[in-house]
Amino acid sequence: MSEVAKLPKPQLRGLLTSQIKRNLVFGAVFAFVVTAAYKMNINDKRKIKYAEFYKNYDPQREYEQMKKAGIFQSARPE
Amino acid sequence: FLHRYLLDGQAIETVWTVIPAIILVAIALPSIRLLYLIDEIHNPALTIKVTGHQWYWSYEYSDFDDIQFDSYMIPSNELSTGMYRLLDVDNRMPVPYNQAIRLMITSDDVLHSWAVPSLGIKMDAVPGRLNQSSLLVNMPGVFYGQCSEICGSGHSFMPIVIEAVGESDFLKWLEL
Repeated sequence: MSEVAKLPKPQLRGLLTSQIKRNLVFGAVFAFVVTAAYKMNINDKRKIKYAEFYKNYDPQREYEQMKKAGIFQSARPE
Repeated sequence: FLHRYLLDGQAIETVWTVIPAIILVAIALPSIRLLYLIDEIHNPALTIKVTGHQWYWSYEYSDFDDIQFDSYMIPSNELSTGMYRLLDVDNRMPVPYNQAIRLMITSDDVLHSWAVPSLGIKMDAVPGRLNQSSLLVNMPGVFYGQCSEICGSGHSFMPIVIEAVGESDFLKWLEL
């Protein structure tokens, strides 16, 4: 026989198990990354928006404006 | 035939039972904590009784001189400009904003459900049962909701309208 480079022996058994193990790792990493990205870009941004809205929110001022506009049935404008 | 003699797989079945169980427990613990926090005592300033009927709501403010009134939907052919179809009512339910309120919800006939999504509140109105819910409106305004339990032909036509007004105006309204 001539000098032929031998291929490494392929995995012959347990293919499904090894595929599942690899997929579990990828799945876990992917889920973690997507969750982290969602939390940072959507949840935290939303919290900041709410905090900004309520920072200088004056319910009494808003109420007087709404009352003057006549939207309330039980609190008619003077 | 593929896997004709594949009868069991103890390892994989254990894994795909245990991992979801752990995930569910991790979801359940904070969820149950929140569920109990919802029922905390909060010393309400006011109690309002809400009764579902076919097909309208009635409200009682029995803390003060037994105020009671019905709240019917305004029919579409009687709407004025600017009113919302299937949402506006003849008598709205006024509440003071920034005050803790206790709601006792029941029904006179069949199952209804008192829901106002923008205030995050929904509670079934069950005949023969008083369901308690708490309400704290932190901003003034008008909030709309609709009956959320099928109750007959008028189920879609019994909306809820809450007016969150200032305390002084609320007290003035009570005296009427």
